[in-house]
Amino acid sequence: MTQSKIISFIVENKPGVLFKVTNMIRRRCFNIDSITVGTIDHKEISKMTLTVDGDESTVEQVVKQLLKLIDVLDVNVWSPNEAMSRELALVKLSNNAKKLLNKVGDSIYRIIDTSADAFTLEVVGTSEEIDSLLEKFPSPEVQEIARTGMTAVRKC
Amino acid sequence: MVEMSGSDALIEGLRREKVEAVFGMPGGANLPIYDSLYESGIRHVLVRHEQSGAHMADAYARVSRRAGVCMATSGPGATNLVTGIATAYMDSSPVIAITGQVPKTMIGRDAFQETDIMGVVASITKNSYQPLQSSDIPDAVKKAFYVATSGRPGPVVIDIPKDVQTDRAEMVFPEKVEIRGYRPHLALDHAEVERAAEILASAERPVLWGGGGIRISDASEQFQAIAELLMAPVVTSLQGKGTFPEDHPLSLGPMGMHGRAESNKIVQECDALLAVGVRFSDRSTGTFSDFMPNGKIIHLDADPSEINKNKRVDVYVVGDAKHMLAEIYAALCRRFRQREAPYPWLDRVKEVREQLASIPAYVEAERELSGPKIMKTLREVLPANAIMTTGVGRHQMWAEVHYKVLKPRTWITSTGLGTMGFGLPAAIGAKVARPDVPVVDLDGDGSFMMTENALGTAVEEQIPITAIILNDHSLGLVEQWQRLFYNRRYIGVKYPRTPDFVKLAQAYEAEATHVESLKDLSKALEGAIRSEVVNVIEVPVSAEEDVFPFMPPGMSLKDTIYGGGKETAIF
Repeated sequence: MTQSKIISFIVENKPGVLFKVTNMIRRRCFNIDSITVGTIDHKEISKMTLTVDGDESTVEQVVKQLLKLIDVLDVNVWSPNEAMSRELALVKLSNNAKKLLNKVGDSIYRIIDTSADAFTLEVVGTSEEIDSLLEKFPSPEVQEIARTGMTAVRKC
Repeated sequence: MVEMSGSDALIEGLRREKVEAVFGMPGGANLPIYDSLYESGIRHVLVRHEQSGAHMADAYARVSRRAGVCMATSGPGATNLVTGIATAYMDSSPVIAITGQVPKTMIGRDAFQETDIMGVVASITKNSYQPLQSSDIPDAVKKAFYVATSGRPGPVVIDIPKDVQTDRAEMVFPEKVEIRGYRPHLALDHAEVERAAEILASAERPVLWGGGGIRISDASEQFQAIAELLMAPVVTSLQGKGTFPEDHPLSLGPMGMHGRAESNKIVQECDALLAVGVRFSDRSTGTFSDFMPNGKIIHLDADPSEINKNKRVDVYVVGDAKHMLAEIYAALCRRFRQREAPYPWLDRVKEVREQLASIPAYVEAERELSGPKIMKTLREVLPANAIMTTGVGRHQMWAEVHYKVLKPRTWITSTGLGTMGFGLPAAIGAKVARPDVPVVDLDGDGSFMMTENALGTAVEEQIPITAIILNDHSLGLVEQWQRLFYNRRYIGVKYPRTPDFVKLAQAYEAEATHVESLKDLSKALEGAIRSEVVNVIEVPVSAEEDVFPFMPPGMSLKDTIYGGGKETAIF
């Protein structure tokens, strides 16, 4: 049965590690939806988060193949309901879209830049919340989108 | 702390790892390393092609229980190693490949002979190191040997930019290394050991399946003890051939695409399979879903990622094979008394053996120089401790079925990658590791021609190996597939003008014989293994003689063809 899993893992913050991880994913033909990386702990190590859709065996193999990489220090697997996950999006919209803002809840965005004909939203939320916000704006009004991909921690 | 150049630190690191021989070729980007090798006391074997150097290091490692070291310059030198590194990776062999690299300031500028070898080998090495300061070299060498030889062994590349080789620094040589992301020695799960013992003790039809992991861990004795306690028949993978003596009454031989018919048959009937140091290769199991649909599978392996990779198993333990088998043996002894033969399962095994004894694949061909007869002749002539290496093809499959390997580490063959050209350089590497025993490369014309220039190395370096070439003027195993599956539409498989191998060998100043009978083959081989020189024996064989048994690609063990033109299983 296919399920969505969040795989959160700690790696050495060294050159080539991101390549080794993505190369392994490519080589083993794993399908991932998102991958993010950022340094933590005084830049000694980095945390990477990937989301994968697959059956139990696939998820098990992703974890084992990650652990097999010598630069991977620790791996956690969470179901979406076990983790707090967030993603950041920057969305540049034409000023015509301002009137649509009242259709979206104001808790997940703020306006961080404006000009005579456009403005930029910073949106923080779950990937689904960001998807749903973006659906509110017709594509002619959307000038540019950038999304970070998802990162997560285990629920308290 | 002592001040020295990076290349001196590399060679000092190799000496500390007790490296006796390296196989390689110098070039622009590794000249400082060679200069440091000059007075090192480490033997250098100059190869004619870096691929051969990697195969030599691989076979040296498989025979000697130690890492094998090969060297190449940057660019083409490094890329020529790739086939050898991939071969070692698939068969879990601890090869250290040391490559020169262009100077740091030139990396990324597409410099002369620059290849991103770190990127190229990422998916065919356990790890790779590129020291960017000369003072990093001692640590990189220590880590490389530790990673290559521990846990599930595998190749490691050390890529050293030329300026890092020449830069001088205060060097610290670590006595031990800790790598926080690498924990090859996990504590055994004793509950799982007990569960494994429980399944084996209650099984009515147990089978043991031994793989290369048994050789790597030198666990043959422990494996045999369990087989004899349970009186369980034993099959092997092709890599595991010889880890259980094939003249033992419980030995059925290799299982798989060109396995023994009785192995393929009995495994399907067993109710508990103890799989040790195997990776459930498609060439061993056939279609994964059809493999062992009923019986319980216990998997012991050093590599956690092998568990449940191709086939879901019922119980598994991760660890060193020798340790795991000793624990399972002890757990078995607590609940199981020595089984005495005969009992129903061994009666069934005997019955299957008798039923299959006369299948076409096992009936002696009339032709004098048929594959199976040649294999039996080789076994008669060669002492039990003689090492056989092989190329890849029909000769290898004939040996799989008909040449009985009696001792571990005397059967050196490329199974995972199936690398043609492996046999001759592997024989050279094996002979460097074990100069005291006869080493024979069993080869085909196609495989031999891929790395035949290694004959030059063997002669120059006075490494007295014997190469036996079964010459069918064809890529015989591929021809067999074209015959069976492509309606005899032969394309790209015939070599009507293979060189005269006797003259070719003589041109390299090796001894050479062409034989036309089994008697002459015996005589030539007896002479060759007693001589102190390199020998080549050419044996003409027919390209029309198919290798059976044969489980066709994409099919299951039950679909094994027994030969004789009847292309379906007998039962």
